[in-house]
Amino acid sequence: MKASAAADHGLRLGRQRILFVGGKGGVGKTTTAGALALTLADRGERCILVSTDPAHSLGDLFDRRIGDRELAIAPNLWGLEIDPEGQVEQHLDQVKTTMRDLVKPDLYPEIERQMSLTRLSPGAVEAAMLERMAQLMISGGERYDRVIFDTAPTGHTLRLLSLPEIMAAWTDGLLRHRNRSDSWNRALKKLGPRPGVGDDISFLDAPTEPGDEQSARIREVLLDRRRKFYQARRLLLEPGTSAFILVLIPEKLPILESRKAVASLDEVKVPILALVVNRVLPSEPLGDFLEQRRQQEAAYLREIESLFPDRDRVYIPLLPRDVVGMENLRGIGRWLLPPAVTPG
Amino acid sequence: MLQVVLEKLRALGSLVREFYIAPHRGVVAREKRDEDDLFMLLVFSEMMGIPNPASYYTLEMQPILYERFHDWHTRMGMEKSPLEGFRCC
Amino acid sequence: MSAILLAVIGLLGFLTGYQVYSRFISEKVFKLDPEFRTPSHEFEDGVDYVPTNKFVLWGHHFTSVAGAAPIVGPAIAVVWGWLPAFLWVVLGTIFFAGVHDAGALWASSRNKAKSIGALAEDIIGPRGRSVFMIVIFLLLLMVNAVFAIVIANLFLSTPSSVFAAWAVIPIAVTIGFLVYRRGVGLGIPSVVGIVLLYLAMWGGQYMPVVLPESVVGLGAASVWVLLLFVYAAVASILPVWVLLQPRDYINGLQLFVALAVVYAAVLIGNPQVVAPAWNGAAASEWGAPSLIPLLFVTIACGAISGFHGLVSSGTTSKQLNKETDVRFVGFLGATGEGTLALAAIIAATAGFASLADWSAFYSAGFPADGTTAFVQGGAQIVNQGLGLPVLFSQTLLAVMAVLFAATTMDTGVRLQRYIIQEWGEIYNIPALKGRLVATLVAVGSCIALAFGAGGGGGSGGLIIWPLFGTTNQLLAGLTLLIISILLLQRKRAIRYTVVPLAFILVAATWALIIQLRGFYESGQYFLMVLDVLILGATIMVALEAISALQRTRRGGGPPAPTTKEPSPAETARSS
Repeated sequence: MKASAAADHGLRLGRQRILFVGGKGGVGKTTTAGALALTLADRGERCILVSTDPAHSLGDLFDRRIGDRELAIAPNLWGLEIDPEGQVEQHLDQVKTTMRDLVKPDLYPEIERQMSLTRLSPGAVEAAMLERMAQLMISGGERYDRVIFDTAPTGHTLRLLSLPEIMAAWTDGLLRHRNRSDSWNRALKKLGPRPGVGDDISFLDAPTEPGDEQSARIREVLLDRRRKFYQARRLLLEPGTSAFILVLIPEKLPILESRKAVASLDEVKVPILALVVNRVLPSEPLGDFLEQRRQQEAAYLREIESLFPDRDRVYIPLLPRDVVGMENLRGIGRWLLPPAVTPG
Repeated sequence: MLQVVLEKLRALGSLVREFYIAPHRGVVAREKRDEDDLFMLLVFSEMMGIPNPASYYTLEMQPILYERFHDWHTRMGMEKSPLEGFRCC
Repeated sequence: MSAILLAVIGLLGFLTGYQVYSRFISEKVFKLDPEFRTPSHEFEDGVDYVPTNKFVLWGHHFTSVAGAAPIVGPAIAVVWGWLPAFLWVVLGTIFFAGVHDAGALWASSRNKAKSIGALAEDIIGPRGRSVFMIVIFLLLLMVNAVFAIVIANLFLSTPSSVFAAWAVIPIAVTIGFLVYRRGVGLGIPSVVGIVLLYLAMWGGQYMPVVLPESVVGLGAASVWVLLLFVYAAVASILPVWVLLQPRDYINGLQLFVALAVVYAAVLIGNPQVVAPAWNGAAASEWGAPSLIPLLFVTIACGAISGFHGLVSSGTTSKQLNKETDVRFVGFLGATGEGTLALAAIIAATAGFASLADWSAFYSAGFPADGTTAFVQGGAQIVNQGLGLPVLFSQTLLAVMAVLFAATTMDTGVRLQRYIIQEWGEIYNIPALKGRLVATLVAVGSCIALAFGAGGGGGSGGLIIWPLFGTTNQLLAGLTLLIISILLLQRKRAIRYTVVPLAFILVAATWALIIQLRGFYESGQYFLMVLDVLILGATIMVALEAISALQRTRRGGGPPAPTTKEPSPAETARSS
C-alpha cells in the first residue's frame, strides 16, 4: 500500500522556523498541526502552535482551555488561539488614547462613534489577524524554534498570505506622497520665511513649523508599518524559513480545492513543503461496503498523484477512533515524522 | 544722512526680494498643500465611501492628521465635517 | 511734436488722476476702511490668503495684468492719429480702468475674496453666473486665437526673436526644476537664467529663424500658429511650477527692463512724433472703420479690461493687507498698464523715420500689425536714445511681447480646459472630463477661430482684435455691474461705475453692429456668427444690468446666497 510506503520518509522538514498547516475545513488541519507540533516538541524543539481559525479547536484537541495568550500545554509546546476581534479592540483603544490627547473632551463621544465604525469595517478583523501573525513570525523566532500556524480554510489563508504584499505597496504609495510633500517643504524653507507686513507682527508668535513634527510622526508610523510588512513578506517567501503544508483527504471537493490552493500559493511564491493526504483507508480487509469505498478512493489517490506529481506527499491512514489526547496525536506524528528520520 | 539712504536702500532691496520670492513661495506651498490634501483623502477615504484596503492601519494616522482635518474640509468647500462619525465643528 | 511732451503729459495725467480722482473714489465712494479685517487676515493660510506688503502686491498685480494686449491695441488704434488713442488711454485708465480694477478689488475683499464669477452668482443671481461663463468662454477663445496670431506675426517680422522665445522654455524649466525639486535657492538659478536669456537674444541676431514660404500647403504664419498651439496644449497640462511660474518670473523682469529702456530712450533721445494728431480722414481711406465707436473697443487693455477684474478678485484680493491698499494696488495697477499702453503709442508714432514711412505701414489695412509697429518703432527710439543696435533692440522688445503673449496662451488654454471639464461634470459628458480631451477641445476651437478669422492665420488674422476688445470690455461691464449693486446696497453714489458701464455697453453694441455690416459686406460669415454671438452676450449683460439695478433700487436683496465652490476657471491670473 502506498500510504505506508510514503510514510517511511514522512515530511522532509528542514530548519523552517515558520510552518503553515492549511486546507479545506474538516480535513484534519488542526489534528495534523497538533501532531506535528507535539512530535517536534517531543524531539526537544521549542514549538508554539498558533490557531488562526476564528472557530478555534485547538483547545478541544488538547482537551483544555487555550486562550489568546501563549500557554504551555506540554513540555516544549505552547499553544495560542488568536482572537482577532480582541485584537481590533486593543488597536482601537490605543488609537483612542492618542486621539484623546489631541482633541477637546467634548469630542470624545464623536471619536467613540468613529471607532465603532472602524470596528465594523470588513477589513479590520483580517488586518488585525495579519498584524498578530506578522508579530509572531518576526518575534516568535527568537523564543521558539518553530512557529506552527493552524490556519483557517484555504481561501482565507491565501488572502492573509498575500496581504503583506498589498499592504507593502500601500505603505509605499503613502510614503511616496509624504516624500513629495517633504521635498516641497524643503523648497519652501529654502525660499525663506515670509516677512511681516506693515505693523503686523503676528508672525513672531507663530508656532515654529507645526507641520514638521506632524510630518515626522506620520512618516514614523508609516515606516514602522512598512518595516513590519516587508519583514513578514520576506520571512514568508524564504524557502529556508517558511513552509506551507497542505492537508487534504481523498475526496472530490478537497482535491479540487487543493489544486486551486497550490496554484495560488505558487503564484504568491510561498514555498509548499508537502501535501498531507489524510484519512486514507487502511490496507487490512474491510468488508464489502468499505471495499467499494476503497475502490473509489483508489481513483482519487491516482488523481492526487497525477495532479501533484512533483510534490512530496505524506499519507495518513484513517484511524478507528477520534484523534483526541496526546498519545493519539503522537501516533499521527509518527506518520508525519517517522522516528527513524531526524529532521535537518 | 548716509545712514538714512542706506536704510531706505535696504528696505527697497528687501521689497524687491520679496516681490520675486513671494510667488514662488505660493506655488511651492500650494503644491505641498495639494500633496497633503491627497494624503488626507487616502487616509480618510474609507469614511467617504471609498474602499480602502488598509483602513485598519490608516486609523493610526488619523489622530496625527486630526488637527489639519477641519482646515482641509473647509477648504474643500464643505463647511461642516463631511464624515458621519468625525465631526469637528 | 516731441515724444517727451507726450510721455510727460501722459504720466502727469496718470499722477493727477491717482492723486485726485482715486482719492475721491476711495474716500467718498468705496469708503475704504483701514480697520476692516481683510480676507488675507481672516483666512490666512500661507498659500492663497497671505497678507502682503502693498508695494510687493502692486508688483504682482501689475505683472499679472500687463500682457501683450496693452501693446497691440494702442499700436493699432494710432491709425486714427495719436491724439484719440492718447486721450482714451489716459482718461480710460483714470476713469474706467482705475475705478474698475480698484472696485473689483474692493468688492472681492468685502466678500471673502470671492472671484467675480462667484460674485456674479451671489449678487446678480444664477443667471448672472451663466452670463459670466458665456462671456469668459468667448473671451478665452479669442484671447488664445489672437495671441497666437500676434506671436506668429512677430516671428515673421522679427525672425531674430524666435531663438530666444523658444530658448526661454528650457531655461524656465531648468530654473523650476532646480528651485522646486532640488531645493536650490532662487538666487543663482535666476541670475544664470536671465544671463542665458539675454545671451539667447544676442545670439538670435545671428541665427534668425525663417520658416519656408509654404509647408505642406500652409503659409509660414499658419505653421507658427499650429506650433504655438501645440506648445500651449502641452504647457497648459504641465503643473504650474514646471514652466508657467518660472517663466512668469522672467516675464516680470523683462517687463520692467523694457519699460525702463523705452522711457529712458524717449527722455534721452527725444524722438519726434511723426504721425499726425488726427488722421481720421486718411484712416477711412485706408479701410479703417469709424473712430467712434471702434477706438473704444480696439484699446481695451490700457483703457479698461475685464481681465483685470479676474486678477483683482481671484488672486490679489486674497493678499490685500489693508483695505486702504485697494487704492494703491488697484488704481496704480491700472496706471501701470496705462504706462505700457502709452509706451506703445509713442513707439508706434515716434519710432518711424517720417510721416511717409508711418503712412506706408498703416495704410496697408486695418487692423495693422500693431505689435510689429511697436517693436520696430520702439527699437528705433531705443537705438537713437540709448545707442543699442537696432536689431538687438527689436529682438529685446519682440521677445518681451512674445513671452507675454505665450504666457497668456498657456494660462488661457488652461482656464478653458477647466471650464470644459466643468461642463463635462455638469452635463455628465465623460469624455470632456478628461484633461487630455478637454485640452484638445480647447485648443481645437482656438485653432478653428484663428484660421477661420485670419484666412489661414495670415497677417489679416488680427481682424478679430476689435471683437476681442469688445468681449474683454463685456467682462469689465459685468464687474462694474457687481460693484454698482454693492454700492447701491450701501446707499452710495453709483454714477462713477454706472456711467462707465453704460458707455462700454453702448460702444460695444454700436461697434458690433458696424462690424457685423462690414463682415457681411466682405462675406466673412464665420466672423459674422462670432459677432452675433458676442452681440447676444452684450444684450444679455445689458438686460441683466437693468433688471439687477432696478431690483436693488427697489430694495430687493440679492438672491439667496449659495455655497457653491468657485470654479478654478475664475482664479485667472494673466491678460
